[in-house]
Amino acid sequence: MPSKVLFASARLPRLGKEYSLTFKFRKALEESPLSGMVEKGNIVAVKVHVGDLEGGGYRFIRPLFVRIVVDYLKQLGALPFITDTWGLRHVYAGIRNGFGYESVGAPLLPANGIKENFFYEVELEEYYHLKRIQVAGNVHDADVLVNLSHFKGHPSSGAGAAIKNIAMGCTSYRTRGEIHQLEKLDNIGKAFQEGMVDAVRAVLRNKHGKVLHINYVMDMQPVCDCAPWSDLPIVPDIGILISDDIVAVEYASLKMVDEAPVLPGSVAEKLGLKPGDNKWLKMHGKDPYIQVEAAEKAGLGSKQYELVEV
Amino acid sequence: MPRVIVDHERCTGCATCYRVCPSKVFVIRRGKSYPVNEEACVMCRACITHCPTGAITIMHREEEAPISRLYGG
Repeated sequence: MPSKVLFASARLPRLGKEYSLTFKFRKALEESPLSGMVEKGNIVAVKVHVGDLEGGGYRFIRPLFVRIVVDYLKQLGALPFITDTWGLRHVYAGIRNGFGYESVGAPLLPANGIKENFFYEVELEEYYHLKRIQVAGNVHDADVLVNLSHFKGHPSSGAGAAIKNIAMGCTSYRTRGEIHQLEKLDNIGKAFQEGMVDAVRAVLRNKHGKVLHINYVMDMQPVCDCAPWSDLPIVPDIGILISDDIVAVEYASLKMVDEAPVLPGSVAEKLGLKPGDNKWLKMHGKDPYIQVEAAEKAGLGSKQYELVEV
Repeated sequence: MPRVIVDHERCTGCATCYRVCPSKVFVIRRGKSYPVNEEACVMCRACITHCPTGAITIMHREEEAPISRLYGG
């Protein structure tokens, strides 16, 4: 049976708040498996990239969408918190970027402590490259994880979203370093992406049936949110995709971006990219579908999906 | 290759970066940190997280990736 991927389109079909992405996103959350994952009193980690440290980038997830997730979690009786890596310094950057309590309605906590020394070591029986993964302590300890990912380009994997948000965003600096070291093994990003899948396996190990993946397929700039700059998106905004299957949501997002027309003035136009191209591969020389294939092979989900528009 | 930059006006030479770096990127000379082994940097950002004076910046690989040509880099 194909995995269900809910889709809230950025397109406004009629004038009316109920047709706007914010309201459709809330509706999609209500139709998602999240209410079945959260029990009253549960602590829920909402993993989001809160932007770069230097204040150069600005195309991260708009805090309003984080607020929508937080409000819904509170309605379910949960205690949500927002989280990201890089310690306390990143918390300050995140507050500057609009992810403070006043905006998002939940505290922003460092995923693995103020200096990234709070983690649990998980040993994998089956893995591609990394047997031991250091999982961010606050993510490990949370009862439920909402993996709220910005879909965008990345020089190491072509593109990064749900898989990368967990692999590089819910682990220690040592594990991140070990994954980046794998880039030296080939030129197409294969080992790097397989290493990310090892990390995802480890992070999700204690969260069976307790993780919702949300891909924010908007503001798809050429490079990662960690870069201290932003550029025009390469394609128009698409919307938000939600699933409890990380493979399905990632695969559906990649395909929708590849099928989209390029945005005038973007680097995708400069490169002469067309709808149907593997855009991130042509832009970065790394095929982002490798991570999806590797994750499916690792048993993390299925590429067979059914897209359900809300 | 990443670029690792140490702001010597902020650096106190405390050697925290030298201790936490898994790739031995830094050496301490005459009371300041120098990223002499920059090509070994794996961009884990442990140095940035731990530096008590916020003296370290890491620039990104994409500066030297194929995409940089599109920006005249």
